[in-house]
Amino acid sequence: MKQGLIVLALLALAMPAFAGTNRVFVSNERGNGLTVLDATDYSTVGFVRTGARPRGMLFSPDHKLLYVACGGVNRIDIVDVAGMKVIGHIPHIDDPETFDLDKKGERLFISNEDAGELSIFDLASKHLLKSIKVGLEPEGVLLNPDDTKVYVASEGSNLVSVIDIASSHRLDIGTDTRPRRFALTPDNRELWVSTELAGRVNIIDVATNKVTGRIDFLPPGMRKEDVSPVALVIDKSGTTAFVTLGRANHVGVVDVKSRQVTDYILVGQRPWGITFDKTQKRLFVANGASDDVSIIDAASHKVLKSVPVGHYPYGVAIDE
Amino acid sequence: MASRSMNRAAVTALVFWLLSAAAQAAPLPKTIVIGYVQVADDERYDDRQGPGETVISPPRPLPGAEMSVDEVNTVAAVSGRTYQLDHDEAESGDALPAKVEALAAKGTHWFLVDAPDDAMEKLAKAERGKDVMLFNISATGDALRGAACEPELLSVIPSRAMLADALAQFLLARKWPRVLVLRGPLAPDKADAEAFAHAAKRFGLTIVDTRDFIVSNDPRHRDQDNIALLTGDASYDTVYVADNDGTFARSLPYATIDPRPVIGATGLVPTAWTWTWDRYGAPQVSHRFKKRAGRDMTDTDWAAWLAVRALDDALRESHATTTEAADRYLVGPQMNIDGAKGPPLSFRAWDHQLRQPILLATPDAVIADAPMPGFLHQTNVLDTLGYDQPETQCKF
Repeated sequence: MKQGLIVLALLALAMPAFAGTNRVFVSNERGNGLTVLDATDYSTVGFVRTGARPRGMLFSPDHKLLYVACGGVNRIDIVDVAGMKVIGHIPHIDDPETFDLDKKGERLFISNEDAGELSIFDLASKHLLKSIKVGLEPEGVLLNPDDTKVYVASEGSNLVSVIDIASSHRLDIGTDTRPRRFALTPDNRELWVSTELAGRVNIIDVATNKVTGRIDFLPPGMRKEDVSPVALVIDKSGTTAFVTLGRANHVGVVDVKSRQVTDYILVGQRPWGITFDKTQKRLFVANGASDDVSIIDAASHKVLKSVPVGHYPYGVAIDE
Repeated sequence: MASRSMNRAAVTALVFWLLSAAAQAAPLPKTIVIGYVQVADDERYDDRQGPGETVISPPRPLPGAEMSVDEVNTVAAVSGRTYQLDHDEAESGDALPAKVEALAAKGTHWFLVDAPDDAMEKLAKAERGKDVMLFNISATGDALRGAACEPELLSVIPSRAMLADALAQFLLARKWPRVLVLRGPLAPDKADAEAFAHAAKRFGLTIVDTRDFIVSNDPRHRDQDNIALLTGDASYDTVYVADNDGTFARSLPYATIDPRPVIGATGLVPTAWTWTWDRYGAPQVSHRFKKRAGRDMTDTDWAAWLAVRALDDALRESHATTTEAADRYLVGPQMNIDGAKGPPLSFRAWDHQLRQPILLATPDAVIADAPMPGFLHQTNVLDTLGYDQPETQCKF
């Protein structure tokens, strides 16, 4: 009995906070489901059938649930991570694509491209709490660390809106052409936003809400008009950012402090979603036009492996 | 004597300075009034009464401009500017320059112009060197981007050459190189067929024959109005039809002697925009348009919508304080307009044509978008469509 307890205690010490399933979920935009890979050997271990056109994905804070925006059926599917199946929906959301969750996992913040609105849903009741007008074709949504503000990128208006959640007050910031996705530096001082048709990242100073920097990308042998940055991640130390460059088929590596592009990593065709694993040693990149996922060693920038998935992979969510 | 000639030189210089200052340095107001002019007797919008049922004419593109003005006005807090549309109609193409000048006299600098080729050409010529910039939203004539080009004319709608090149690239990609051309009696039909012949030569297609058709019930014209006769006695992969009236082309598919696809005026049609285009944010644009206009968005609606966006982009990004500076930016290489067609769009420096992808569409689907994969260009693949810099006949 006592020995058993010690073993358990040791196990608890050795294990990370969540003993995850060690699975990688890849949403296939035209495959109507999620390809599930083993996070260690990258073999396919399952397929989760979802509603049509699954795109954005996020885990609940305890990683038991995975929320999947299914644009083709106007709902968010709720996937049981361990059981690898859909167990519920949040219905009546027009063509959902990207969203964010608050830190407690109580509310879901989603952009509505057609209506030009940000909508806030209560996850327990699945009811709409409120909608706030933003610009045309809102896309990227990101909450700030203390859940007081939400950033929304309106790609049709070249606009980033900063919304105070309590008051719904909105402040607009003009950006370069077609702003898409966000990343905040870990110190919450800089908001990075990809501007797809400008081929850039714009850097917004969080304190003043002004664009204070621009990073241009041009991988070797590519043309400016093919550089279409979309998703981006910044590591926990705030040192390095990785930006998928869409039609330019590369991931751009940026030194956050100096804002200099330090490397380009050749991946598959039209890289879209990008996700760190938990230790931030690897990056998983969904290559939309080549139907595969590239796994990158974050330190050496080498592609470790390319793994075939379903049709038009959009994003990657990792449960470790 | 010497002082008199110096005086004259000084006066000349002063007059010249005043003239050029008047022509260029109009400061930008907070509210920009965009002129929108069209021609009442524009035949392209007449319903056609052929021998059979009436063919319904395409709609006027004004709602595209109205939607765009409302949309750019939603970000007035950021751009620091609002826009208004001043809409007017000329009785005829000949009366168009006077309409534009009347609006220009009130301070309007930018105009959206919905007019056919000949009227557009006359207008552009009349406005040469004046304090205006004209967005051509509906005239496809190649001369407007060629021998008859003017620096004050920006063509948003694609040229005939671009549309024909897109079709030619598609046929080559499909390995359907042999084309039978059927040509209508109207001047634009001849121009379409000519552009297609140019594209065929450029991309190495074979035009097996060019046959003229007429729309008639007259038995004496059987060889020119009978589809079986027009499409028989030849070997081809596709039938290209040039028919701006549309009363002939609509009956052509499934009536050809050989079972071959029809392209051009019907069947697979090259166009700037169609409501079924569903990539790069296009459905949102089309949905917004349909919601407010109560109909599907057409190519000219899109061109009108894009023209206003292009202007707003130029003003927002350039921080220009004069119309002259704004125009320089507008036709410059820094422009990257979001046209919901994929790549960033900009105006070609050599002929002021908007470079853009061309959609190849049936009535209810987009089959492909050109440039087709594999067609390469030394600077921008979009310049594989239409007259490229070395071939242009435009001299500003």
